[in-house]
Parts: sequence; structure tokens; C-alpha cells
Amino acid sequence: MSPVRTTCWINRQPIEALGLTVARLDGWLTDVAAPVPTSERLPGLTGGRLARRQASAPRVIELVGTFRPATLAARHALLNALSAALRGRLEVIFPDAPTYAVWAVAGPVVPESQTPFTRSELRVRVALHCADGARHALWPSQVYLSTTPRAVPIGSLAVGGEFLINGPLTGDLDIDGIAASGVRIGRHALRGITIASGGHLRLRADAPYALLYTDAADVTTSVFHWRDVDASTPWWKVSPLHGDAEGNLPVWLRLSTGTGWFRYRRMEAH
Amino acid sequence: MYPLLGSEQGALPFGAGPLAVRSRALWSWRACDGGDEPLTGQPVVLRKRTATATVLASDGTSGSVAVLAPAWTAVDWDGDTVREELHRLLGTDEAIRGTDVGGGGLFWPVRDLSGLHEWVHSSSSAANHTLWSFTNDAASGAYLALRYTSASALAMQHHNGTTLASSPLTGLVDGDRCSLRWQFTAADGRVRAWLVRNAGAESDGGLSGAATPAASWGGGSGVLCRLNEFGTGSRGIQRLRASLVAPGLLSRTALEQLL
Repeated sequence: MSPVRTTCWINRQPIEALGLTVARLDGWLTDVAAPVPTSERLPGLTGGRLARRQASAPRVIELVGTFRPATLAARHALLNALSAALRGRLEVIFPDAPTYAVWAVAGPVVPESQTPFTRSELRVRVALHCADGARHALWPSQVYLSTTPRAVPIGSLAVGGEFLINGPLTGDLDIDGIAASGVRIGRHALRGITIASGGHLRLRADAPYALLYTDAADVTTSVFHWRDVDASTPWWKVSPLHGDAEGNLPVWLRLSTGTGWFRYRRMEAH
Repeated sequence: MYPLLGSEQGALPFGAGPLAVRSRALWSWRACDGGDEPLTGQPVVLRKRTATATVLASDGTSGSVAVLAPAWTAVDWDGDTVREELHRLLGTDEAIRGTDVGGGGLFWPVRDLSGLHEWVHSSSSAANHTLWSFTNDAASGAYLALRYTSASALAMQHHNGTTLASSPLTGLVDGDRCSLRWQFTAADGRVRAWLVRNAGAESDGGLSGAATPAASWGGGSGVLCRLNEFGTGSRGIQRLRASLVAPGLLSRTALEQLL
């Protein structure tokens, strides 16, 4: 990111480059922690596990800024330039965390009421709506998987990502998530798999969940049936809830056999 | 019945589907942001690896990636010893081709263009290995290309079908973190490239000679935006960070502020 003074970057462009001086910014640091689940299983009564929904809450960032065009005629050009820059899906980055972004869609640019023709200065307000209010790391990370447990550094929110399993591999494969305490927190139990030489397997940990096998001829098929529902836990994500009590120790991943990769993007609540 | 008059903007629903175009550029591929497709929305055709690759995890662990699977390798781009980014490892049997919506060529008009290509240099590169090109399958007719001329030198090239204009840069060392920007001037077909190695000062390849641009790219046939390929050959070796082409003659700051 270029080292300029800015309130925020929108699609990598400092907002001040659009002639806007930001006067107020609301909602950009609001916590988007996971919502409280609607139900909970108590251990010992039903023998069940706690199942959480990991979607993060939406966020609305209210941005108020001032244009100071040199002439009244230039005012329309600045407003149009701002509207054009705010079209489509926006990546918004703030200087306190320049390696993280929120994804937003802008509402209309609303100029505040004033006597329109006595001065050219104009205050405008625009709301940036984030359906997923989490901050996503700009750059993904990847962890090498093997039978040796490997720590997965994550932020304050759970991550999805994608597992890639190298071929050749046949038989059974367990992909385990292990808490800092050594307890297994999640398992994808794959049974009766056949990954031929030159092929690979991909498991999406984000919705829509998928298990895809690509063979040596580059033909990709869904092999969802390889996932043993009884032997597996519900589809799980690597979550800071599974670290230690103070969130200092990470979650670990391990394969029962073979090698592969876990590629993911760190996410933060603030 | 009378047709409605006036603006219909308010009646246009904002679709819930994913927005295919996220960049204002003509072509934008950001491997460092985890991109598996161009931010500019073009469909791509992949020429995939035919051998396993060895790459690094974010903690520096080395491991292999299966054949045909995309190979991502962790890179310390800003030189602070932390491997904060993932770059796409492209080998001599791999290429990424940006096409039009029907899988055919892109018919960009001949006009002023600027580009930015960022990668980690490998000393296994050789003459004619290509980082990026705008060519048809035969590499005939007019084209633009960023190609190595030796293991430590490369050039931004414009060929109008007859004459080659070239802006050369030298002095690359294995592992160099390279950020190259280039400009193509439609008035006279000159190209110019500037290279930043390892966040150092920008070196200037100089303004090339003139080569009057052809009326169209690729002799009028469809031209593809190709990563790691020239025509359908001359593939190189690179750890690709980002590739971008935009209209106009843009400064480095303007290019870096494009997604």
C-alpha cells in the first residue's frame, strides 16, 4: 500500500484522491463477533456436541466527508467521480490495519442540506454496507499438512479455506483439527478414497461445502460420498474458540496419512 | 400505453449474485490476494503443470504440490523476513490465458497502455522466457510482451508486425522481488519500462525506438492476455505476485492504486 495519509482506501485508492475530506466515520470498528447460537446441547444429557454457526454479523460504515471544489461547476464533477468510484463491490482498507479489508457495497451519496448556490463546499454522507462485516486478510496463508500436527495461525474469527490433498492416496484419510489442549475438535473422515497418481483432492471448508477429485486427465468430479458422515464431525472450521482460554495457542491440523495443504485467509472481528 | 419517461435507476434491483468485475483495469490478476481468476472478469484457460512442484508454507516448511493443482508458495515480499504473501508459482509447462467471454480473443483497440508486473525472479530463466504477453496463438502480427533476454535481463517489447521496439532492463539476481511498470504510446509505438528490485530505486530501461503501431493487435485476429507464455510457447519460470494492464499512460502511484 502506498505510504500516504488517508482515512481509508477504497479499491486501493485513497478516498482523499476523490477530493473528499472525511469528517466522520462510524461503524468501522464495531465488533462483529459470532452471534449467540439459538440452541445448545449440554454434555452428559444427550451426549451431543456444541454446534455453532460461524457467520459474522453485518456492518454498516457511515462515512461523512466534505468536498471543497474551487467552483460551483466543479462540484458536480466531484460528486460524479465519488459515485463512480463507489460502484460495485468495494474493498475498504483502513490505515490502522493495512493488511486487512472489509468488503462493502455503497449506498447512495447523500449531500447534506444547505443553501446550494451561495458556496461550493458540500458535506456528503454515504453508508458502506458490509453483508459480512469481518475483516479479511488481504493475503491468504497456507500450511503444509502431513501426519505431523501443524499449527494454524488465525485471528479473532473462524476461517474456512480449502484443503488440498496430494495424490496418490488410497483407502482411508482423516483430516483432524486439534485444539491446543490436544483434544480433537473436528474430523473429516474420508473412506474408500482413490486418488490416483497425478490426481489431487480438494475439500472446501467454506460454504458451499464441496469435496472434489481431479484426476490425472484433469477431469474434476464431486466425491462427496467419500466423506463418512458417521465417522466425521459436522463440517467444521478452524476457530479461535478452540485455542486455549486466553486465545494464545493456535489450533493444529493433522492428516492420518499422506500430505497436503490448507490455504485460508485470516479474519478479524475488528 | 405510454412508456415511462425519466431515470429508471431506482427501479434497477441490485442483484445478489457475485460481481464479476472488481477492477477498473483492462486486465488484473492479483495472485498475492489469493486470486484464482482475473479481477477484471475475463474467463481464463489454464495450461496446468505436468510435474509436481515444491513450494513453501507460510511458516517456511517446504512441501510438494500434486500435478495439475495450482502451486502457491509463501513469499516475503517486503523484506521483513515474514512470509506474508502467497504467490502463484508458474513453471515452464504452465500458462494462464485471459480470453473473451466466448473463449476467443480480446479485441482491445490500439491505444496508450500502462502495465504493472510483479514477481520474484528465478535465475533459471533464460532468453525468450516470457512473463506476460498480449499475443495470438502464433505470436504473429502486432503484440506486446515482457520477455527475458537472458538469465539476468529482460525487455518490454512492442512488435508492430515488422519492427521490434524494446526497452531493456538488466542486472536481475536470483530471488529479486521485482516490480516492473511499462508504458506503450500509441502515437509512435514506443515502449518504456521501469524496474524496482527489492524495494530499491527505480531503474529506467529507456524509451525504445519508434515502431508505428499496426491498426490492430495480432493482425486482426483475437489476442489473449497471457501469463507466462508467448503465443503458445516460450513459457518461463516466475513466482507471480500481480499482473495489471490499464488504459492510458499512468504513473507508478496510479497503477499501484488500481485493483
